[in-house]
Amino acid sequence: MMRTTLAMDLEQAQAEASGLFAQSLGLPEVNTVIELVGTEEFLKFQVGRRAPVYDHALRETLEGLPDANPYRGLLGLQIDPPERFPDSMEANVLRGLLVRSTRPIAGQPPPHAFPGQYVPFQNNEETQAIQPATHLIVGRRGVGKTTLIFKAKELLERSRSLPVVLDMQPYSSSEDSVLIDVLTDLAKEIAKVATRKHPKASAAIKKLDQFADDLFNGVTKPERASAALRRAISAVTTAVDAELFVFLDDYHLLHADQQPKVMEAIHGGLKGARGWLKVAGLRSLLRVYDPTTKKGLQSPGDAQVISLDLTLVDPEAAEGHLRSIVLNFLRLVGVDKLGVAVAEGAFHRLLWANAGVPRDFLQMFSKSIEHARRAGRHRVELSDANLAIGEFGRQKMAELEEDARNEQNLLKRALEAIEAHCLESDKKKVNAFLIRSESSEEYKAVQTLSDLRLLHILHQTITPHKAGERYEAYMLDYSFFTGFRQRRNIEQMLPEDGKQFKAKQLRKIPILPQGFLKT
Amino acid sequence: MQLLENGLNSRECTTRMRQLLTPGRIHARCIPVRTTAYNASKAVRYVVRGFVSLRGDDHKKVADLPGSFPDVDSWVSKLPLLYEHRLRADYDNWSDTAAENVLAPADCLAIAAEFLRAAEQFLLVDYGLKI
Repeated sequence: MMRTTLAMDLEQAQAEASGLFAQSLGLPEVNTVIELVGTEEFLKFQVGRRAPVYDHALRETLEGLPDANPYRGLLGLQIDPPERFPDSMEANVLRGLLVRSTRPIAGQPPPHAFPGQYVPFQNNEETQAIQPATHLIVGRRGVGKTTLIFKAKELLERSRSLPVVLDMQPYSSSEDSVLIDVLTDLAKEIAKVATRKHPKASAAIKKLDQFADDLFNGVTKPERASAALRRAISAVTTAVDAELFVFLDDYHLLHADQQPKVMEAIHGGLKGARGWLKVAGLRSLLRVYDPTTKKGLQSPGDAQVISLDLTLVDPEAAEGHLRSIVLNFLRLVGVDKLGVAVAEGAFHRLLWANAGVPRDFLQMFSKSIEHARRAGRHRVELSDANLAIGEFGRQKMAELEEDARNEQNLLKRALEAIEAHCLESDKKKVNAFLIRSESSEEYKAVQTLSDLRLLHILHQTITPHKAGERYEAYMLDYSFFTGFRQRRNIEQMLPEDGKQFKAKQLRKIPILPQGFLKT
Repeated sequence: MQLLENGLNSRECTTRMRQLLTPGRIHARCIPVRTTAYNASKAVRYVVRGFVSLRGDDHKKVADLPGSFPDVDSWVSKLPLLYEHRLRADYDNWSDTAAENVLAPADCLAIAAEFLRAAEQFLLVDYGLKI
């Protein structure tokens, strides 16, 4: 039968609306139905429950539709509650949200944030980060350093201040020329932000652009760059009568030899020019001061430390924080209770496996939902979490190679030795160990592996033998003995009361032999 | 100016609706609810954009609120739902129509009253218009 032009137009109009709705949700398509109500035809999107994400998608669809589309203003939702959460449209939308939210890149626009989605940091670090002071923002991968930078930038944007963010990933070269690249790009970025916020200060801003061009073209020598940058910045901050905040994200990705030199130049360019530096990175891989040349940024003299690590040293606080974060995400897709999406046992396994690191937790939760869907379960159960943990281990190893390029062989050797000691022992196999707190190569390697979330600190001061001999307790990441690398008869370190570790329990953990890297 | 006054007189509609909240009067209850939301939306759109249709032919624009309107996402979802209920009351008022409604009359009233408050607050805070 020949379809009329009108019918085809309506089909096209439906496709246009459903395409916009699906795009807003990050889905390839959504099902629709037409409902005749009175004299009007409504286009209804089929969803599992009412949810803020759908309200937002409806608005984006309404705004995106041309006036000529007959369904403009006649859009709605048809609710068809799902039998199993992992198989629902809400689970798909949630997984997309988790992916987008856990891949922020400093210097790029953040993903859309829904009202109430943001969970404040536990110790009000947002307020610290926007103070006119120089800060080192440290914490393991995924604890929220970039999220904090985004939040601080958002808060500072509301004032006259100039917040500038530079992602350090592209500057990994070991050559001295990296200083020119960093300072040029930084000056250009400051000029861009200043032009946007204070266009009337164009004369002063031009000096910054001129500085960048002169440095890049060799007119200004690198050894004079810091002083020249300071003059140019001072001209801008005076002209706009505002403070400048420079955030350097993932600073540890800069080559270790270059870190103190670049730091010295930027700090020198900002100090006394109403400029404030915020340097974020993995604590053990940051080398912002070189004691031999006395160049760089000394803490606490030049910079205060903001630590974002919420570790298993305080499991209750870590659990509370992660519970708030995951519940906020679930509420966005209309789920008010954690138990609808994940069993309590699986939640705790994910919490421990991720040692309180929010990004890891959310990514692993997303993978667990996928495993639960494949298995046809009503919600995420322990076995789904275990599979996700095993898979995630490979990603962490890849990140080790990215974050610690220069030390990866040593770190891998240390990891193998610790794994053998904990999990392949002839005696009791336990997923934890004690290491003496001292300035040894082994201790340094353990700290770096902790920053890379392959080991997780449980306690910072254990004295198993006698007073004065201080040890630290660490847990091996669950990916070493869970999922596809499952090993049996491994004793798992968990607090006896389910909340906090007692010293008596921790003292019984096997001690890692000194000099284990040399054996 | 008359338009604005009409919009701001939405309060009268909710008052009338409260009086009509008696069982079995679906039609009588839904019309004032819808009128409340429609008028308040029209007032907001007129103040923000400077023009609205002078005829009653812009029902489909009820959710065309400015992005700065508080909690705008949720209103874009709720206001067409009120329109839907009003259409059923007006044109599909059969014995089984009530079962197709997803909102109870009291919920409709609560939504309309809440939207009216939000509109009043928005016009006062953002445009200094006291209602």
